[in-house]
Parts: sequence; C-alpha cells; structure tokens
Amino acid sequence: MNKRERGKESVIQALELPGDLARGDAIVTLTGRTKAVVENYRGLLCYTREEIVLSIPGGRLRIRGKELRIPWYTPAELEIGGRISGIQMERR
Amino acid sequence: MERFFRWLLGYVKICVWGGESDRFLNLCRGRGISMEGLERTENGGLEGCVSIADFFRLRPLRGKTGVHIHLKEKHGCPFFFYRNKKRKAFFVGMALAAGLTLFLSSRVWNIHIEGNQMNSTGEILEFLKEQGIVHGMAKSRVDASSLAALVREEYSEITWVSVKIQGTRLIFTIQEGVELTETAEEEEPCNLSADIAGTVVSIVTRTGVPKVMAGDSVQAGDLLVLGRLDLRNDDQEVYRSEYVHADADIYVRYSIPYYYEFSRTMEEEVGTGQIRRGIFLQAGPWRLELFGTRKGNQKRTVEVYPLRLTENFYLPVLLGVAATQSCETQSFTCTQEEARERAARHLMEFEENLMEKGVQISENNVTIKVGFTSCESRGTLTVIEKTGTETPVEYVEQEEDM
Repeated sequence: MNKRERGKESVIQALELPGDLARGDAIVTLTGRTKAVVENYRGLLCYTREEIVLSIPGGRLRIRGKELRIPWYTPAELEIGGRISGIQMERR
Repeated sequence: MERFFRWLLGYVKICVWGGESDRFLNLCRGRGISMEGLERTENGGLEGCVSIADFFRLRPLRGKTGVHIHLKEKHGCPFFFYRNKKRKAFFVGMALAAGLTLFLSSRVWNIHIEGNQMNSTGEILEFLKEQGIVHGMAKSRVDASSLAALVREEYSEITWVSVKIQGTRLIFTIQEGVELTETAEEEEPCNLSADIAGTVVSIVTRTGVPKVMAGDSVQAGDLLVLGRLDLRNDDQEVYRSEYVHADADIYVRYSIPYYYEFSRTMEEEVGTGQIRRGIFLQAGPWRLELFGTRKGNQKRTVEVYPLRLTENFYLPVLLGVAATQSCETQSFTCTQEEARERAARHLMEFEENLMEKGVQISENNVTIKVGFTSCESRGTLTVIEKTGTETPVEYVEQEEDM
C-alpha cells in the first residue's frame, strides 16, 4: 500500500466512514447456500451455469456452484441464485 | 407490489444468443437497463425478462455485441389491453365498476350508534333523519362537530358524543350520565296530598306538619302533610304563619284486584315438510328474491346480513337468507300442569311490572283454578306504594298586631 493509500486509509478509520462508501468496496451478502447479493460491482466478466465472475474494486469475485442463475440484475446490485459451492476473492 | 407494478407497465421475456453475451450484459448495466430472471440455457444462450421501455433500448447494444435477440413471451397490462382492444363492453364495464366503487365509497351506507342505553337506537336514528342524516348521503355533507352538538342538545341524558366517519360508516359513540335536574332556588310552599286510597303504613316528615299517622285510612285527595306552620303565642293563639314546601315519605297499603283467564285449547303452527332455503338481495325497499314466492300456508324465517367490502366499507345492499317451510295450524289442549305454569308465569310478570314501578308487594292472595276448558287466576294483591303529590297551600290572612 503506497503512501497515498495509507493516508486515505487512516482518514477513513479516523472518521469511521463506512468502507463501501469511502473506498467503494463491494458488499457480498450470502444467505445460506442458495442466495448471494453483490453490491458495488463493476461488471460481469463471465457467466455460466457453473461459475460467475464479477469485476469488483480491487480485483475479481468468483462464485462457483451448480445451476447458477441471476434473478435480479441491476446497475447497482445483482442477486445470484442456485447451489453455491464457493466464493473466492482475487486481488488485482 | 413490485410485481404488480411490473405487470402494470409490462415486460417481455427475451432470449439472447451468439455474439458476446457477457459484454451485452455489461453494456446493459452501463445504460441502466435492469434484467430479471437471467438464466443460461443449455445451448449457451441467455434468457431473461426486461421491461418494454428497456427492450426498445437494446437495439444499439445488439449491434455492438453482435448478439441475436429473440422475443419469447409478452406479459403485462399493455399487451392485455392490445389483445382485447375489440372488447369494448369489457372496458366499459371496468370503467363503470371503477366509477361505481368510487361513488359508493363517497357515501355513508352504515350509521352505527354505540353506548346508548337510555335512548334507543331507533329513536336516535329518527332524530338524525329529521336533521338530514340518512343512509346514502354524501360524506362531504357530514359536519361531525355540529352533529355531535345537535345530539347533545336534543338528549339531555347524553353527556358526551363522538362522531366520526370510518370508510362508509358514520359512527356515533355516546356516553350517558345522570340527568341534572334544575332545583329552584326558592321552592314554593305546598301541601302533600294522597293520590291513592289506602291505609298509611309509615310517614316520615321532613318539612311541614303531618296530618295523618300510621294506621289511618286515607282517600285520594286527602291532606297528608300541611305546608303551613302556625306559630302560637303563650295563649296558644296563632299570631303568624310560615309557609314551607312540604316534604315527607308516606307509604300507603292498598289492594289491587287481579284476574286472568285463558282457554286451555290452543292453536299452534306446526311445520310440515322440508325446509327450503333461498337467498335474496335487498337494496332499500327493493328486493330481488332468488326463490319462489311464499304461499298462504308457509312460514318463513329471514336473516339479513349487510354486505361490505372491508371492515368499514359497507355497501347499500343486504344479503338475506330465508328458510321457508309449509305449516299447518294444529289445536291441542294443554295439560293441567302446563296451564298452571302459564298462569303462574303471567302473575309473576304482573308482579315484576309492579316492582319496576317502585311498588312493594305485601301479600299475594291469588288462586289459580284449572277447569276442563279454561284456566282462571283470581284474587288480590296487597301492595305498599309511596304516595304524596304537591298541592297548593291555602294562605290564611294574618291579623296585624295593633
């Protein structure tokens, strides 16, 4: 983390700002194994029935499972349904 | 609710295949196009639902990504109206139904009165009718505060009234209290006279001079308590008179004759045959019956229920359920025990009526005789009742002392 990023991080912590607003972090809400809601994503890189790859700030989000589908797809958030077997975060 | 609005605006189900489908989704997101129910098909295509407005914005995205878009299904209100555009009567009916519902909801169809005990609901409704508050009137014409003031002014027993409109109901909540009688600052002098004939049982005088005592016989109109106090000097001569408002509790015993006779042969309508049930609709004085008319020898029992859409949205229509049964008049003779029981019941009701009026029953000398064809109750009831009506006092001219 360079000097500028460290300074920004310290300001965020001092002011106790929420991470998703200050840094634009993605928020992943997992409900059981059948539903996941992702907010603040940048784009959809790959969508198959076995894997969904999303571009998020700072890297990628890889969701694996079976019979994956997207019940909701909006510019702000998307919902993933199906049998989710794993969620992996990859840094850039 | 979201689903309803989605259906109201209309949406289509599309199938996207070929080209760059992932890039197509990203471009949709970039242009603010939302999709629903996205799913990969077995042949690699993409199925999902999109609103009608957004569908028409997909053309440039199709060109950029080279995908093929196939319209699979159409759902929603716009398609429904387009498919049924020739059915004009349907739309007219919908408009009429909407207009009728709007009209019905703007009127008062149920006037509910609660909390009243001294004044009957029918009496209050009659009063409201005279003031122009009737079923079917417009809600905008109801002035709750002035209506409450009118009811309080008309009925002195009512101490508090709340008037509110809920849905199509006009609700009166009433609280009754003890009526405050106006007492005159100065009571006029008067005597107390008997209004019934009998024997004085007890006399408790608070003001005035008693003229009778316990055991005396009095007739109607006799003076019981004199409202004039004669002040005497040492020579026992009346030198001055003071006039007061006579007040006393005087109880008189007297007898009431009692006679009741009825025939032991009675007629009763006995139901024969099956009970047929039917329903009818009633709006005001008009009734629509969905079953046959009643014949002369049929008995009908009716139950009526007001129709309402919600708890407070009452409609001006009543639903009735009627049970009709053929009947015939049969005569029978009641047994001695039944006749005696009926005679005793009538006597008991008579005594209860007397007691409600404040009369005490001292003795019961009624005998019941059951004959072959009739039953007779004869005798007297000795009762004790409070008496004493105010009568004008006679003013005596007073001689001035020289």
